[in-house]
Amino acid sequence: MMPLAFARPGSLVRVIAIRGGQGVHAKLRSLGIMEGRLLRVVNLMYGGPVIVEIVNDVGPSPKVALGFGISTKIFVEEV
Amino acid sequence: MSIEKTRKGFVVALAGVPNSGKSSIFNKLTGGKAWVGNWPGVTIEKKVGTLRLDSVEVEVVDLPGIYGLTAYSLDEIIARNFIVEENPDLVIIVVNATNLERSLYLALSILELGANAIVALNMIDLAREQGIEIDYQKLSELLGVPVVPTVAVTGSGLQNLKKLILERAKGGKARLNIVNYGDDVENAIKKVEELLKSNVPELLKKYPSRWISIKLLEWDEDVIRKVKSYAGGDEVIREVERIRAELQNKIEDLELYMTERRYQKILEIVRSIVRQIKPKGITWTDLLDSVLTHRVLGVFSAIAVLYMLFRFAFEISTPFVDLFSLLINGYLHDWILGLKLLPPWLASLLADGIVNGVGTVLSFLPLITMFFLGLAFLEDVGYMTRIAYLVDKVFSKFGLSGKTVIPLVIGFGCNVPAVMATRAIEDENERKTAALIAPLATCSARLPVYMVIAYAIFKRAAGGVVLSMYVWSITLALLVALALRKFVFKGSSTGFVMEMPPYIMPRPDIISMKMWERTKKFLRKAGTVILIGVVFIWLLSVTGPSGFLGVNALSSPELLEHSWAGLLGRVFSETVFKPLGWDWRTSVALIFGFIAKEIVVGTMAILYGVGEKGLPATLAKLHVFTPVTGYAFMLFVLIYVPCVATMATIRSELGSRYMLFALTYELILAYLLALTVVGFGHLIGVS
Ligand SMILES: Nc1nc2c(ncn2[C@@H]2O[C@H](COP(=O)(O)OP(=O)(O)OP(=O)(O)O)[C@@H](O)[C@H]2O)c(=O)[nH]1
Ligand SMILES: [Mg+2]
Repeated sequence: MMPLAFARPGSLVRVIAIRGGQGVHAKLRSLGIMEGRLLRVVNLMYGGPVIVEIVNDVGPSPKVALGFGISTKIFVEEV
Repeated sequence: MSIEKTRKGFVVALAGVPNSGKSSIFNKLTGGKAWVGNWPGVTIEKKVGTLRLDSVEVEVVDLPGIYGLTAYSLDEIIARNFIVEENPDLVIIVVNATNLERSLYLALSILELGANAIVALNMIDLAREQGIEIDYQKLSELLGVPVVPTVAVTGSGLQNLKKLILERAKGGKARLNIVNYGDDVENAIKKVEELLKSNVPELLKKYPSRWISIKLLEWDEDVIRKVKSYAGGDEVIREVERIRAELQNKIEDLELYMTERRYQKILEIVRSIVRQIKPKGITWTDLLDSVLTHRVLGVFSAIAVLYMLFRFAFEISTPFVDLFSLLINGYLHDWILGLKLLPPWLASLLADGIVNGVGTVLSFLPLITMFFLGLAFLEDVGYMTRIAYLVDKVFSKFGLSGKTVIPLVIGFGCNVPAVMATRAIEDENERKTAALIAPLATCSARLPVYMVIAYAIFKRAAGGVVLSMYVWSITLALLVALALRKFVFKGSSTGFVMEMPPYIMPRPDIISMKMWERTKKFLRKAGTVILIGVVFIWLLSVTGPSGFLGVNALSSPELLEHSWAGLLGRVFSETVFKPLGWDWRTSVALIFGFIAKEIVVGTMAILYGVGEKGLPATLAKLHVFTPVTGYAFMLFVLIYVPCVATMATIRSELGSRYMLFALTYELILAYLLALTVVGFGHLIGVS
């Protein structure tokens, strides 16, 4: 398990846990980023933001950029 | 058939996730000109328009985008409150076919609220390009509301949408229980519903009991507050707390569980309505993003893209600016002065005042329209969010999120919408900071000033010198932000979360509409504020304490010095501006530039006079500036005060205190920086 901020660009990860206040949780959930979801790490700047894409079998959603502060609170596991 | 009287107005709200095409639909329905752009958060204020259908007058309201009924930023609060509190007669839920999951998440939240709703399934053209087709009839069955497929930009499907609006004007109810939350939670919901019925019956006249119950179980702060505001509400909340505790024995994270149930439902819906018609392949967006958001290549491409747009605007427009200048300041000016039938004072007012003053500003029209073209392209192609991503790391060092760059880029066009655009920033401290630095974005009104000075002094290097103003603009904005975040608006940021929509090829009709709307504002300003400003300056120049000086005052420096303008200017040029080396004419220009920065150029044109070679040539001939005092002047104009319109906007967004604050810090910063440049110039001996 590691923070999303340190994931490998191009890798596929599963969200294990999200730390942080209710606000962060609700905002991320309304974008479909929540525990159990599969994400593709599209691009990443070390110490900066990361772009993820939600992976599911039902077609695309626009990618989401997450700042460093938030992506260190999202814990993922590479699959 | 009745043409006598229309029914009482009927209110239709457009709701949907950001960037789903709400404003585009609004424009097509009402013939309005709501601003559109390819990034989330374009609309930041509700906008009302009317649509006439048969004998029914429909009031259509365009709202900012939201992802759910919990709101974070100011724009989201506006949308949420309208949907939840103002009870529109009908809600058009705009579903983005290329963003089904999030769109449906919001759609379910709105349907749960029991609103009379219909769904516009928009952007089906883009979805098809991505290889998916959507069974909209099936979607309608599953949601229990009518669904119309649309392509807002071409208007396809909008006739059907209008028909549906008319049909639903008679009323219609949504199905409240599309999502089943499982036995445990459903039982709890029933219990809470009973509680509400017996304790706060008044509340249920406004909202469906199921919705309130769900929100209470999710512990939604807003709804809790709402319930508590009724007599008997506290009792309900205490009981809900107990029910929640009981549930949490079985379900650890209740909020997460309920959200998951919703998404399960959504996935079920999406699976049954989406058909892949083309194999998934790599898309243009993926391809472009692999370069444009690359951590190294991305930054270089951004610099290249912006530089190219800048060169494009300059190269294309320069010959036209010269031509306009010759026609206006040369031919038109001389022709008016040559007219025998005009009394000399009138000829002077027209030629030396209006034609020179307003005309010089207008001669930059080609440059400004080309600049607006570039800006519209950036906005619509989808690059704004990429810029935000690229700068986020650097901006975060200054206490801002990458999102702040969007208001700044918009500010390059005009600071007024830039201040407004900061509403989309969630974090309160960050938003206020952004609104206060937005006036440092060098707007298109300052461009003519830079051009005139740069071409007067720096000749071949003028382009680079003007470009350097943009670098100053961003640098200063960041430094001021850093100071504000450190001393005034403290507190850590809530962070950067932003959807990045696919790139789209901008449509010529939308680009030209946006270009024209911005240009129209510039023209209107030229015809009103700037016109009045220059007439006033002409008056101040031909009159003085001794009365009317005669129209010759403008061509005789000795006379002009004794005009009101001369006196006023010298008050400044012999005191505060003395160390900066600016003469009294320049000082007058700065004083009136406070109204609108174009007036700086207009005033100079009147006071120095313009030949057919244009104002820069005149300034160069008269040696008004040295490279050092000229550059200091450009910097001063970049910073010194927000124009009157921007001040008014800051006041309405943040209050008078912050408006005064913006004014003060800008004046001080401008003065100190100009002084530093001049001082530095003396030091290295370039003056
Ligand atoms: N191809 C295509 N483009 C569309 C369609 N509808 C809207 N667009 C484009 O999508 C972008 C977003 O449209 P807007 O109307 O600004 O979206 P909005 O929902 O008002 O967005 P916010 O105000 O940010 O919430 C614009 O660039 C539009 O030109 C459509 O049906 N097809
Ligand atoms: Mg909009």
